[in-house]
Amino acid sequence: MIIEMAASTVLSMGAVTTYGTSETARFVAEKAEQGRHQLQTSYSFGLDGRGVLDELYSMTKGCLVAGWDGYGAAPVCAEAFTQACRFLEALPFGVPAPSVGAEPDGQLTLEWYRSPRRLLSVSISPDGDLHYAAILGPSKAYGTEAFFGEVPRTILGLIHRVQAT
Amino acid sequence: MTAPDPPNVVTDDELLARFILFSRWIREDRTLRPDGFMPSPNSDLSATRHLGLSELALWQIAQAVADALRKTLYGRADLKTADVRRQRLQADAAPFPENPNHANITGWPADKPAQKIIAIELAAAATFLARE
Repeated sequence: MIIEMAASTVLSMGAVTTYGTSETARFVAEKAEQGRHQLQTSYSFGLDGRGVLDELYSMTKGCLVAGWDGYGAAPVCAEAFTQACRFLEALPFGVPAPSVGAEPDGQLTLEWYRSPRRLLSVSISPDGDLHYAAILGPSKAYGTEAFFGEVPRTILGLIHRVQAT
Repeated sequence: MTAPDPPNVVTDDELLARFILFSRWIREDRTLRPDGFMPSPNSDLSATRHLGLSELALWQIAQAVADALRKTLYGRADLKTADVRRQRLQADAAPFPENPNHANITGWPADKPAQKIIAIELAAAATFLARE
């Protein structure tokens, strides 16, 4: 019998899911558990964060093997997953949850989206660099910020601008 | 399936198709995330020239590519070559036996944020067509 459950549901029961016997899969599962703990104890992120964690977990799981995109993409590594969890945890109260993606270089992305010409995409590198790019109608902004446990003001400002009516 | 000798020069008015083989690059509103327009680790973006192919022939190529890679074909993103060049990228014919219409989009900046802003522009300019 096969039972399917969301990652946060499985993790909240105290189980650590594994997807195979590889070291990478085990490491990602351990990091996911740590990320779940961080998010569930976070005052600001709450239940919304659990949904994003599920998405992040599922995305990472689907991108662990090189070539996951059909075009030779690099695998998403456990460090990128860990950094993404830390970044989500650091989002202040009231910030809407992003959607999750992955890029061919193996970096995870978080996207705040209103329309194809009003969005912010943040790539999270395994070493904690945040590469961001935003289009807000006729305006563009892009650059790199280091992540030291707090969401940089530049990125928070762009999130608010994407959401602004 | 295609013309026997596709011309070497990709012209500005040509349409390019980017086959979408990863479902998470498609948003719920059927627009495309920029993630799917970022260059591969070898610094290019793979595409297929329409070159006047019928819809059927184009989908046949797309399906053949997906089958060869053992991936699911979710759809394709159509993009004008002029939109690619507007971003100061090059679109060059790069045929291979299984896909004589193959092209590479090259000339990406080394800087990742600069790549991302271009990918956002390409995604916004592209039209997504789902595989029916």
